Amino acid sequence: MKSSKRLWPCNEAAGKTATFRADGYRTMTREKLVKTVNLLLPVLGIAIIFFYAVCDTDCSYLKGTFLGVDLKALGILYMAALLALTIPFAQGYPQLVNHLRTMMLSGALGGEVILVRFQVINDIYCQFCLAFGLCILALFTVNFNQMQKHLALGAFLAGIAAFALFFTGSILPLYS
Amino acid sequence: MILKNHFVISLLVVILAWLVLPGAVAAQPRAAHLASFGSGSIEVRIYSDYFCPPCQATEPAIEPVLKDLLKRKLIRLVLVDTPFNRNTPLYARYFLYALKSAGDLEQAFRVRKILIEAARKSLTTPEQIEALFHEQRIAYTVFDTKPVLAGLNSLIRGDNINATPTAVIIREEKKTAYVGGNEILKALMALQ
Repeated sequence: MKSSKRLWPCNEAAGKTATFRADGYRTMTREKLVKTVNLLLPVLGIAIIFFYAVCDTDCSYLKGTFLGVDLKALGILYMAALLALTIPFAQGYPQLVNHLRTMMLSGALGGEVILVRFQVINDIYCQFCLAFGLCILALFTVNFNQMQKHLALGAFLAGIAAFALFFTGSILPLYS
Repeated sequence: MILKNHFVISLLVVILAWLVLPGAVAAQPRAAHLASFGSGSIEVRIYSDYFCPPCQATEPAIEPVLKDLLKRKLIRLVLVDTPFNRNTPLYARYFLYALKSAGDLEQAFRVRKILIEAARKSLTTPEQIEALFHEQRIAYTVFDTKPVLAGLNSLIRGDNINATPTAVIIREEKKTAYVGGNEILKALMALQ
């Protein structure tokens, strides 16, 4: 029964209907982990962008836009959308949610390739942007097993292409 | 299937190579500038933006140290307005207008204080700044600032400034950048 998909009802006597797979505890733990990460990392991502926008000891100029929209605003919207996929209503459409999450995470990972490249080229590194990228990488890794691989690859390449075409970055503040 | 896997791996390797080998970046030119004071052997360039809160806090803190260093003829100070905010070019122009009229150090620091206050009050039109200058009795002369601003651009490019406040200290051909108020203050005090 190793890695069987059959579910085993238990605890019915106690009035509970908890179910778990043949490999029981480990599967439940992993599902919990994925759910927790899918909930916490988008919140962390939004917090990172807010910290980046605040000038504390100095104000950083490293800026980027995608189709003219500031990446900070886009990042907040993106993480909010990922967070929305975790709400109970969305759980009623598990396949759609999984496909959406696959496309969003893979596409963003492709975009991150361009964003990191931009920092490498200009030899200017933004720790908040890199931390945000790590959040996406962690989300991608945790959800990878559930992803449809062809869809993930397609979205990853589309993300690279979209950012290569429509991303504009500026590192130096200059007078026009 | 094997062919497919090889294709995917090759694709990822190409992307990785493109990421790691980004190519050369053009060298940045340097140019002359206007707002410079003193004739010491050490050059101190202060990059600041009137609208950046840490700069607003840093400028008054470093002013006495800079004055002392200039009085002792240790440094040559260059004040570079850095246009992080979209309204900074307007403020930079009026700073230069005021310097054109009376270019001494005391006047420069006074005008900067007034412009920082103006930024805090969100004054964003030439009329508002002119009214403030009249109120504070700051004389100014309007002139074409394009060549000066182009010189500032060259400095910003040459020193690779991407955060404010930044101080670049050039001593015996060696250039060191300090970012953030505390770092700048420490570096300037070390010159005393």
